Amino acid sequence: MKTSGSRNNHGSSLIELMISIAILAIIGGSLSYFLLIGSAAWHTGDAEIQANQESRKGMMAMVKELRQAQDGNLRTTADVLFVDNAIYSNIKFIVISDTDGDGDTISAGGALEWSAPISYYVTGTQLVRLQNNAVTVLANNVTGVQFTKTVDTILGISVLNIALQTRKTSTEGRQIQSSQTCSVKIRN
Amino acid sequence: MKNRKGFILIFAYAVVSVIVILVAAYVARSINEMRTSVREKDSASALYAAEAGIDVAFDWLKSQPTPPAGTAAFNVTGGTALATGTYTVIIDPDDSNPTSFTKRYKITATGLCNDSTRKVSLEVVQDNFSRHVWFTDSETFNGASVWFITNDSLNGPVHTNGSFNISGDPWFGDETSESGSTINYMHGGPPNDNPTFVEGISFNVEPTNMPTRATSLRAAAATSSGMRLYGNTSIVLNSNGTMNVTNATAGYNNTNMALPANGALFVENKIVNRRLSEYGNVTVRGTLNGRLSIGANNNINIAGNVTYNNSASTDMLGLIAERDLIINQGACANGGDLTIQASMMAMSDSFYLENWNTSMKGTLNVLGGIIQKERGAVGTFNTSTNSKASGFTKNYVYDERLRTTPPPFFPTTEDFIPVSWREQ
Repeated sequence: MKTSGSRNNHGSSLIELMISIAILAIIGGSLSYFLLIGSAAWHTGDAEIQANQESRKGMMAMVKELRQAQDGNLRTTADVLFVDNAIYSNIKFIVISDTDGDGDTISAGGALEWSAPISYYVTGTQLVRLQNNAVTVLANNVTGVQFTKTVDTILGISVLNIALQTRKTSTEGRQIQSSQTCSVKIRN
Repeated sequence: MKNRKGFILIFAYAVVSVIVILVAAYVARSINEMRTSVREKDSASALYAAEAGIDVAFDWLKSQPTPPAGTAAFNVTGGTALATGTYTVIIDPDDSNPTSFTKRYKITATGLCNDSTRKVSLEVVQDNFSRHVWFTDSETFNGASVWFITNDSLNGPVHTNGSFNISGDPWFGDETSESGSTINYMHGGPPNDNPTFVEGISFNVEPTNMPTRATSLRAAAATSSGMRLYGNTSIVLNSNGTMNVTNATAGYNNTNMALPANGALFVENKIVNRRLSEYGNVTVRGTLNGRLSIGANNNINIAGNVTYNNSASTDMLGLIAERDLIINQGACANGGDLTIQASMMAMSDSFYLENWNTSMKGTLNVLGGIIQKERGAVGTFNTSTNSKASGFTKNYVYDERLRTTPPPFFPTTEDFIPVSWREQ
């Protein structure tokens, strides 16, 4: 019985090994599949978040400054005055500023004090800000920006609509796009 | 059997571990995103709370019977709770207020929502008719419409208490408003009449009533630092900061003198034995070096170029007629140009060219503004071609300084206006 039992055990071990290998392969395969799916999902989500963060960062920087822009003086970087409802891919404007450092925005001569012109445009994959020949990067992975001025005739205010698109490539090579829009009331 | 169970268990642990790590990472990322979103929402709420504070303080300032005195900053309402956030707001009078005719204030509000703080400031000044490049109570003259035509351009604030009359393609480059509800077009509107309103046009705006008396200027002229004259007066402004005055009542015959110290000069009607002896008319021309407002109980006649010695300096002129502002035919030769650098106001009547339909002039260059009760004419035009038929071609350029700084004692609208909005 012992010998027989020992034989049985040996026989079982071989089958068991094969079954184990098969199970291992199935489990390993499944695990790899789940890992690959999870990894892809993770990297896709990560790229999406990075694209969102870039567009959000760029949009916030633009909105904060454009709120303080001079109404009626929104131009393209080629100094063409904005026409209502037309779409532009860059913008040049001035903001109210305490240029003489006296604590207010009215000069000694009585005129309002304005900053040097500021421009926003996309170069390569970067959204940049230009003022006094100094370039600042507002956002990376940018594919486009659009500015459209509209006039709310009921409220009598000018509104600047901004659309910003970003794109990030995940490690799996997927192109993840993000788009943000914002409407800014021009206050000066 | 124990070994076999342990073998499977290891795989089970591995699978579960991977799943737990992935889930944990997703949760951490979601929490991070949620926190970012909450921060953005709080930041936006803080900004709106600060703007609510600005609005409350601005309304409070407008509701005061007289502008708050002194130079010390003060709270209007503190820590007012809104649905989302709170604000604190202070009003800081400008240091120049005690000695300045036009009062300025800086309203600073801090909005708070959870951990987010936003601080914005609004500078406001007493509103003044001179901040307009163009203001009329009516766009008609003796009941007849007066028109903006092709090549007319106005690059400052424009308002009429009536409705605009437009023929062709005039250009309006700043805030434009009317109290009427429609534009009266000569040729039925676009595309034949196609005005440009760079900042749009607002209709049905509450009318701003024009005063009929230059009360503040008259009072300032009556003080020891001002100058008050009676009857017909001629003034020639000199680039050296003086003026030559001719006034029979005062015994001046082209007499050279300094500008009034407070910048206020007013010419009253001359009354003798309770009867009108001589109208308080002023004739003016020359080059101003300084700050001056000339008022007249009756008309102001412009007899030649009226310019600043340096338009980029503090030189500033107000011409305020309680009746008409008239450009004399002899102010420039036929075909010649005329330059007027001043903010001009015809309180009870109009700004116009004497016999505007009898001669062809060049260009009327105005740096400043024109405020009038009824819109006068400086020329006529061919209604078919929109080209000039007589008088001046208009070239009205806004003096940006007038947005915040009027000529001395120029009539106010008894309101406040915002001049700049900033986030700090």
